[in-house]
Formats: sequence, C-alpha cells, structure tokens
Amino acid sequence: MSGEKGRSRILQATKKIGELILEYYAKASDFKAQGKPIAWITVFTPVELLRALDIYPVAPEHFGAMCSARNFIMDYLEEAERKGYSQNLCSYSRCGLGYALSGMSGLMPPPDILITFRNSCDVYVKWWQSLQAHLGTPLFVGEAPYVLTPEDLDNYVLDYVVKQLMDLIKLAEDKFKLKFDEEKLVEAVKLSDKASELWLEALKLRSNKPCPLGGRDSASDIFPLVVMQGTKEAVHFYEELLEEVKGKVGRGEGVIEKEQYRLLFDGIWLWYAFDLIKYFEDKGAVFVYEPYSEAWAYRLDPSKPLESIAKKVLAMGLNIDIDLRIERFLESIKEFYIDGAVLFSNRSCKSWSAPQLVTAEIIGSKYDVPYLIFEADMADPRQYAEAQIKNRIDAFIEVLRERKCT
Amino acid sequence: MYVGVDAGASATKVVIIDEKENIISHAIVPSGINFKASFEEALKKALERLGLSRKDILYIVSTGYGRELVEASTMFSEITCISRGVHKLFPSVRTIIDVGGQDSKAIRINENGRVLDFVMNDKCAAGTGRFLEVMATILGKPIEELGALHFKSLNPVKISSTCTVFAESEVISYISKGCKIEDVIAGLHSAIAERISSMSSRIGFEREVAFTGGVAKNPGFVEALSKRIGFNPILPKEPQIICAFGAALLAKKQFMKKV
Amino acid sequence: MLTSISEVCKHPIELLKKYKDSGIGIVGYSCSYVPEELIISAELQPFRIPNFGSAASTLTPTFICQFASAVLENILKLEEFFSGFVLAHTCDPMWRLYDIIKKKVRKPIFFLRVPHNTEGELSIEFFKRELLRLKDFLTKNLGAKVDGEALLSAIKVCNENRSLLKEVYMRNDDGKYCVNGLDRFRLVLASMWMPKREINAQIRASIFKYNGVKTDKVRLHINGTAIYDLKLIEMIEDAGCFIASDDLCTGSRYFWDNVNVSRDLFYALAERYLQRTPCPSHGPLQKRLAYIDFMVETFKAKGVLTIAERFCDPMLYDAVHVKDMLAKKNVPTMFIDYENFEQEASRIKTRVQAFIESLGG
Repeated sequence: MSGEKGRSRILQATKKIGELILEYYAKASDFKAQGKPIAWITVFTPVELLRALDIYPVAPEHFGAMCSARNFIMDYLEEAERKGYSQNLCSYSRCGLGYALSGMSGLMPPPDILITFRNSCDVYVKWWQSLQAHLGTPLFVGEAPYVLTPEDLDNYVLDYVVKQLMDLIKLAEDKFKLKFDEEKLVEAVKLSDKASELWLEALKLRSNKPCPLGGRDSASDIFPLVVMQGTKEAVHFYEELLEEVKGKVGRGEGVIEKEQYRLLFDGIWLWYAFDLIKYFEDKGAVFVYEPYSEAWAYRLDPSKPLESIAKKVLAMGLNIDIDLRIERFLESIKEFYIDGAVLFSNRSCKSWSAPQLVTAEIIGSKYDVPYLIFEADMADPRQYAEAQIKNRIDAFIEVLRERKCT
Repeated sequence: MYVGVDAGASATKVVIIDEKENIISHAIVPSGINFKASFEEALKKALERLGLSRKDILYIVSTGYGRELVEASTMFSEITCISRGVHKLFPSVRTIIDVGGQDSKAIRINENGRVLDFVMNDKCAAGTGRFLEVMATILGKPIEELGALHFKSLNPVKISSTCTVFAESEVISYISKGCKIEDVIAGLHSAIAERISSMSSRIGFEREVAFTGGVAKNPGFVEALSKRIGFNPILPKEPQIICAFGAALLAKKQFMKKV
Repeated sequence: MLTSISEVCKHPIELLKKYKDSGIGIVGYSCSYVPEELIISAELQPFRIPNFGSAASTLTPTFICQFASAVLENILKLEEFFSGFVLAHTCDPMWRLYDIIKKKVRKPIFFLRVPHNTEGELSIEFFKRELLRLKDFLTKNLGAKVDGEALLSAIKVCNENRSLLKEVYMRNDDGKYCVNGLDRFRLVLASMWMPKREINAQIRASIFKYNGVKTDKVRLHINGTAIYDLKLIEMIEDAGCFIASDDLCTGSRYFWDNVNVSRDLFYALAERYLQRTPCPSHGPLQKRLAYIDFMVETFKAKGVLTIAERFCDPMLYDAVHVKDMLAKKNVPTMFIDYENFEQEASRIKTRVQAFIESLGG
C-alpha cells in the first residue's frame, strides 16, 4: 500500500476561495477610497457589529496566512526583524508589523481604527499596541475573560463583554461621526448565524466514510466566516458548498479513493506547506476534524444580537476551560471515527501549543488514540525542517497501519 | 611595548604594539581547551619574533571569550577592543561587522571610535565560522579553499534552513542530487551572509562599513556579504587580529592613565 | 520565627518547609496581580512561587517561556507544602499554567482573570467581581472568614510594607549616592515570602543601613519582568555598575502604589492592582513607557538594560518601543535575552561589560 499515490480531491467551492479573497481585499480598498473607515481586527472581533457601523474589517492574521501561502511573506518578516522584533515572536505579527512599517501599499489598506478582543492570546494586545505605536491609529482593546464554566456565558462575565461592545459602539460613533444601526446588526447577526449553520452542517458530514471534505478544504473554506460574517456572499458561498458536499456523500465520493486512516489535526495550518496535507492523503490518511475549522462557526440569536455576539467572542475555542476543550476532543473522536491525532506544535502560537502535550497525553490514554506531535511555524517558512517532519509522519502512519492489521 | 590578547573560542590572538601604536608583532594559536596555555604559547611566539622578553611588557589587556582565564592587567569586552582597533586604522568607519569562529557581531561607532550600539549572535552556530567549518567537513574541502571555489559558481543553490543541523541535511541532499560543489558553497556563503546581514540591519549600516574577524579572510563570504548589504566594505589586511590590536591600544591607554 | 533576609532570598523553599512544619496555611500565588491582602485577611500566608530550584518542565514545548515552565515545575514538586494556589491571567504561559496545573494538581486552585485593558471603570468593576469570587474561594476552601476589619488590617500592613520598600528605594535618587540594587531586590523578595509584620519590623530596624554609598560606577535602570534568582543581579552589578532603578514586578512595580483605602475595600483593591503600572502583558503601552521614563530621570540612570526571557512575548514587543522612546531622549539601551542565565553567564557578562564600557565606565 505504501508508495502508491492515489488522486486526492479538493472541493469546487475551495477552488473559488482565492478569488473571493481578492474580491474582499479589493472591496476594502474601494471602501477606503470612498473615505470610509477600515478596521484592522484580530479575528473573533465581532464583525457583525462592524457591519452595523459601516466599518470595513480586514484581518492582518489572515493577511499573514495569505502572504505565507503565496510566498511573499519574507520581505515583511525581514522588515519587522530589522526594526528589532525577535524571530521568536508570532510570525503573523511580524508580517503585519513589517507591512505596517513598509508603507502598506499592498492588498490591505491602512487602518483607521485598530480593534482587538483578547480571547486567543495576549499577543493580540501586544501586536495591536505596537501597531498603534508605529501608526498612531486609535486603538480599542477589549477583554473576553477566560470562560471557566458554562455559567460565564450568562453572568457578569458576559455582561462585561456586552458593556465593552457598547463602549466600542460609542467610540466608533464619536470618532467617525457614524450612527449605529440596530437593524443592520440584527440583519448581520441573522446572516452570520445562517452561514455558521450551513458550515456546521457541512462539517458534520465529514463523519461519513469516505470523508467528503478534507484538510485543504477546511483550511481554505473558513475564510468567509473569519471576516465576511454578516454578508449575503458568505451565506451564498456556504449554501453552494453544502450542496456540493451533500452530493459527494450521496455518491460516496471522498477526498481520497482508498481512505485508510481518519485523522484529527490540532492547530493552525502550515500555510506555506499545503503539500504536507497532500503527503498524508497520498498515504491514505485524511483529516476529518480540526478544532480550527469549527472555531468561527457559532449559532447566534437575532433576538438578542449584542448578547449573542458577546457570547461568540467569549466562547472561542482557546478561550474556554481546558476540560471543556478536552470534552470536545473526545466527542469528536467518537463522532468522526478518528484513528489518530496530529498535533502541530506551532512556534508562533504559544497560547495554543503550551498545553498541547498535556492534552495529547489525555486523549491518547483515555481513548487509546495514537498521536504525533511535530514542531514548526505556521507562516515563517524558515522554521520548517521538511525532511525531519516527513520522517516522523512516515513512522506515525506505520503505527496506524500496525494497529489496523492487528 | 603593550600587549593585547583576544582569547577567542576558536583561536587565541596576541598583538604587540610599540609606543607609537604600530603593530610590531603578532601570533595566532588555536585555543583548544586551555586558554592560559594558548595565551602563553601565542605570547612566546610573538615575543620571539622581536627577540624580546616579558620584562619589556608594560601592560596587558585581555578580551574575548576566555579573557578571565589569561593573566592580564585588565579586561575589556571584544566590542570595545574591535572598535578601537578599527577606528585607529580606518577613522572613517562607522559600522563594523565581525564574524568569528563562534560568534558574530555588528557594532556602530561614532567619529571618535566610541561604541553607540551593538548586536551579537553567540548562541547559534549558523552565522558564524562554525557553520562554514561544519559544511566544509561535509563537502570534504579545507576551509581555506572555500573562497576560491565560490567564484567558480554559476548557479548557487538556495539553503533555506536557519539551523546548522538542518542545513547539513540540505547540503547532503543537493550533493546527492548531483549539484556542483561550488554552487553549494556559494549557496552556503549566501545563507550565512543573509543571517549576518539580517542581524546587523537591526542597528543599521552607516558607512563606511568594515568587516573583521577570521571569516573575513574568506573572499567568497566577503563577496556574498557585500552583495547583501549593497556596497563594498573596508577590509583590513589582517582581519583576524583587529580585536587583539584594539586590546593592545587600550593597554597603552590604561598604562598612561596610571602614570 | 526570625529569619535572615538574605538566607530567605537564597533558599525560599526552606522557608516554605518551615511554615509547613509550624502548621501555617500557605497559599501559593503566581504573580503580583494577586492581592496578598485577601490571602492575609483569611489568616493564610501568601507565598509567591519562584522559578528557581527547578529547570523548565518537560510538560511544555521548548519555545514556551522557560521561566513560566520552571514555576510550573515548582508547583508540581512543592504541592504538598501548599494549602492551595491562586494563579492569575497575566501573560499566555501563565494563563496556560492554569490549564496544565488543573490536570496535574489535587489541591484547590483559583484562576484570577485580570483584564488586559486596565483602564476605565468597566474593567475595575469586573476585576472587583473577580476579587469577590476569590474571597469566596479562600473562605470556602482554605481559611477563615474574611470580614471588613480583617481586610482593612491586611491592607494596612501591606501598605506599610510597600511604603517602607519605597522609602529605602528613594534613598537612591541622589546622583552621587546609591543603594545597592542587590539589597533592594532582597527586601522585595523577602516581602513576598515572609509574614508582613516580620519583614516590616526588620526593615524598620535596619533602615539606617540603607544610606547608600558614594559611587562613580555607571548607574543603570533595569527593564524587565520577574527575577527571583538574585545571582543574576549580582552578575550584572559585578560587571561594574549600580542598578539605580528598575521596573521589575519583583522590583519597584511591586510596591510603588498603595491601596487607597475607601469605604468599598474590594473596589479599592481592584483599583490599585489594576491601575498601577502594568505588567508588560497588560495595560496601555504608554503607561509603562512613562513609568520607565520617570524612573530613568528620577534615579539618574545613564543607560537602560532590558533583560528578557528568550520567549517572553510581552517583553520582546515592548523592547522595540522602550528603545525608540529612550533613543529620542538620548538614553542608550541594551537588550539581553536568556533562558538559563547561569549557563549563559559568559554571553550576558560580555554584553553588560560592553554596554558599561560604552557608557564610559
């Protein structure tokens, strides 16, 4: 079996993402040209709210992923390093800072406001502080406290986030002479909820054998959920995608023909090395579940728009208690019939990587799931030891094969 | 006469100067594990060339990795010593890039040779002479030949790893694919130049820029680094002893303070 | 229980063992955002968990702050001595320490959520709620009831401690005289490990010692986070300088601001802890830069030494702006990073020496 390369597929929907991305950035530039405000946001900042304020959001984290995938991140990384930013810092932030320090004449228009909600990491706060220091742009820092129990999504913790959102509204109204439109928010929340619903349904279909939607699909197809939430285009994209996936399930069409191993991937993807996903697929292994893929899909209640989006900010994957995260892993192992787990120890994301070994041990022992941990960087191609990593993957696949035979 | 000793991790350099601050003798000896012994050996060699003895020495300044282990009147950091040495020979220099056996540094100095700012890499082999030593061994070439081979290259390869161990894998892979040895060498010089230039750019390149340190004796590396920073540097005739020379100058200064 | 301050600083774990033997309930805490006053008012001894005595834990990846990882290792090793732990959400590794410890430790643990946006009433009100939650945890799991009087008394003794530390510190602002950096740091660390009444008495009794000595050694300001192992400070001062001022959380930031006693004690605590000069992981950058600027001017530092753990994100981002700000004022800066300062002594000494030499020392 090993050595045989099957054909592996990506969705038609996935092929459209590149264009969608470029359109999104082009629109941002148009917006800017019309004198309307652009917000640089950290992802999970409530985009629905910004739609209601007529502020156009762009996400430098996505920009970093895109630059890495398209091979033009090095100039920005070097610019940031020249300024003194250490190579041990998040590569998204080095890309974004390097971009900001070199004139911002690329795809992403300069910001009129910087908005962040600390829910994934403190780097959000430090990076945004640094941008303000260099650019002088007004900065809003929100805090989404760590969710220790499900009650925190209903008590004073939620209340705190809601009040901060109200502060943000006031700030934006004052700064840009805008008026917050509650109706627009409700509309955006409805659309956002619909897009999430559709995507979650599609993800659920990955429990089928063979799995119709693989790693390269899920990595690319979350884009509309990240910055396009609240738009009709996002809903339309997921409607088409869901149809396509349903069709594949109906025809028994999977990502690869001879699906041997169903894997979980924990972490952010290696944006410059999508061929690594294909490397797994060529060995009969397909990714059927990633916490990353469901991170942006959250059901909202249009009758409580501000509260809903506040809950969404709080309940982001990394921001909920470790026991709740482990619970989700164990659920997914059952739901998606997972044979093994691949955990990416990402040098750029210490918040994610720090507890990974402990989490892996628990999954490994409780459900007897073999796991592989490898270290690299998500966007900096210099921190990638390809030969060594592929070696580990080979050994891991052999372990999975042995288990299947016995 | 005054003596400066640079007890480096790879080599121990001794320079002797006279009252007029001219270099009258010098010696370079591998450091090994006993700095005291290498210092004695180097000093002996340098004195022998002049037919003089230790009694004639007025003051000794030590610097470098092993500076605390050799018998000297005072110690100074390499950063200060290199700056003094370069400034004495080339007063127009404002930036110094020094690449030694186990570390590399970039120093900015003012018109009086005073240190304004500096950056160092001394925790990672990549970007130091060690990197080239390791690679030369794999390629089966003596390190002194790397320079000449560099200029034969028409198609330098790209070494993407920043880590010496991973770069080794890349080199082996290129050779096994049939790449020419000169192309691999040129690629390695480019990689190490990139590392050093990136570190140095954090303090800026104000001209004139001088290259010093043992690795500056490699013309292939010098070319790669010059290309990277965008202009030609000032290259001392004996780049490896500049630091010890600066130490000797400081020895004279310290002695004069006492009298 | 009389203990010598310098012994305590060299062997804090020995002190921990002494407490355990004498039946005192000890609450280990991770950082200076945890109000010791609350712990003291519950008749428990607060004990700030250092990194030294342990290497980094194998439970975390190699690119995670080794300092935090060693604190983790200490918690795992020394669990038996503590009644419980209070961990605060400061930076990412400290945050994730809670995740890991939750799965590995049996003693009661409390996670204190500290808003990273420290300014404004909203954040103070939220933090106040968190402190009330901490009070409930302490009384339910660990100690005695916390009533208004006990809390007020604890605030007073902590305020006194901070005032004494500041008094010693202020004997430093004369450009000619200097109190040894090592001595000043010792007093701060001892304050985190010894009972307040005892350390306060010791400082009061020996305050005449801190008159400072005349020196023409180069005066430096140290910019950093937490340094528990004072051999690092010794290493720096031995290279030929005096640490005239600092912004460490095991330094001036620990004691610079007092609690403003008002009717609502929990509000007062929340306000003080949140609004003092923040940890690099928190608060407006400008507030920290202003504090550093103030320190450098008041204590007449000739240069600023930034000491950062190799993977400390907040320090690594801040370093760029600290350098920029000070460059505008013609104050030279030097950046040093390390994972294990004893193993890297040679590199650190070289840099410090070169820096001192460049400042004319």
